[in-house]
Amino acid sequence: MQALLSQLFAGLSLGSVLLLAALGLSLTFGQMGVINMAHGEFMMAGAYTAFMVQGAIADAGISLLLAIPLGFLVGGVMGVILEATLIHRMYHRPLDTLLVTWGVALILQQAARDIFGAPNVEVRAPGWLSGSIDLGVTQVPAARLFILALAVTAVVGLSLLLRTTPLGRRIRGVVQNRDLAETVGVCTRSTDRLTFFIGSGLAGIAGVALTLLGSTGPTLGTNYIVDAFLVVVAGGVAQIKGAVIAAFGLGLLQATFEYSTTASIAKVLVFVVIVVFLQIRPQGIFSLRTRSLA
Amino acid sequence: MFNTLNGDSNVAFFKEYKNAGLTAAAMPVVSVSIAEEEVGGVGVDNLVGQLTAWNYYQTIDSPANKAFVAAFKAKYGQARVTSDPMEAAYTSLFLWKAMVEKAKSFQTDDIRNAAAGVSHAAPEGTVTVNGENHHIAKTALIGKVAPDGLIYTVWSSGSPIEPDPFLRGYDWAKGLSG
Repeated sequence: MQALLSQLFAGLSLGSVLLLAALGLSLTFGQMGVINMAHGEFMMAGAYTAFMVQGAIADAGISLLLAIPLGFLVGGVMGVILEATLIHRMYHRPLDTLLVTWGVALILQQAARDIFGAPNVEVRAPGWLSGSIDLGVTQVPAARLFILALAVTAVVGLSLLLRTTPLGRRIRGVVQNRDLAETVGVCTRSTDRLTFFIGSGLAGIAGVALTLLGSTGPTLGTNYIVDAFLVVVAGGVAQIKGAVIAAFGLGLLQATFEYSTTASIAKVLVFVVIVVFLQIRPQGIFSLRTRSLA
Repeated sequence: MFNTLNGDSNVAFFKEYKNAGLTAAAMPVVSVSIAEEEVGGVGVDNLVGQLTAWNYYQTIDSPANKAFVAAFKAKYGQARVTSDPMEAAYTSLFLWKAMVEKAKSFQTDDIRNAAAGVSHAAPEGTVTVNGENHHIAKTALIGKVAPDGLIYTVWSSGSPIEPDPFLRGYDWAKGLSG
């Protein structure tokens, strides 16, 4: 029972990490159709933001809480710059965006190496996030619980934004039918830019959170970008709820396979499951039905 | 725990190790791929008291090492640390130089033939090239990570150990070495 619960939590925790990494991507890739390979580097920028904030404010707890909004801002601004300079020129050439943003990713990685050095840097976890919390039947690491809560908060926040605010309505309108949205007076240009800001900002938040678990270095983004795309593709490109279900599904699958085999075999099995699943449902778990011709 | 992890996995490993409530006193970890450079990335707090096995630490107390560390810090900054892979790269260049001088040639074959027995007083101590397999005899160290982020020797083989890459000197490997 205890083993089952701790594996269940391991799966949920892995799922929440995947979800944080993929949530922004489900906006930019899923809703706008931009294959942004530099998404992982926006996460890296968020992680280095946490490092910089900790350099300025010694208290690990305050600096972490401050780094979350700042990471969002840094990721978002980088996203807007990328969108305004490069991506908006190639909205109808998805394969070109893949190459261009991959190049940007390499440039950003080298920039991080030049600024911060090639070795990893240390971001200390605050005292209240190191150690475990006893839930009676099983113990869960506090840092992982925090990331789970952060992922849930980010999903709820993003859903509320998309459902209830005028900006959210505009974003959904542009996603569902770009031409019609433009015809009724929605400025698709500024909507695209704001969507990209939010999507990239979420990558920044993910980066801040990941400093609690793994290494903070120039290649942080490359560790997560493939998994993030997997989540978005498996979830169905147009839906936040698809990303949520896919992230937790893949997390639980990975944890279950890891428990019965090894980490490497588990990864292979997860890939096999995704390949088979996409053979049966190429559009992912959810797909968006619209009357748009595009 | 004997830890053969390499690279970034060490960061995640030691963070989870600490989150699971383990300490160096309760369950010490001997790592084979943690040097001074990695201590900074993993976080000193996550590593204090853990053991590592390697051939060189910045804290080695010898004139050759003091000169090496001082020259390194003068060039790359006082905050930087030296590590075993850096020292090995540095030493290998001097070994090559000694071989070239012995062979009086830059030709690869001449240098290879001159390699046997070439020795250098490296920061880690004297190292000597083995004529048979071209590995080098090095002194083995076990060190402990201190709160200052440096690693201090707690055990030393005392003298260089002859390289045995093909496991000829082990009874259990009989039949494997061929």
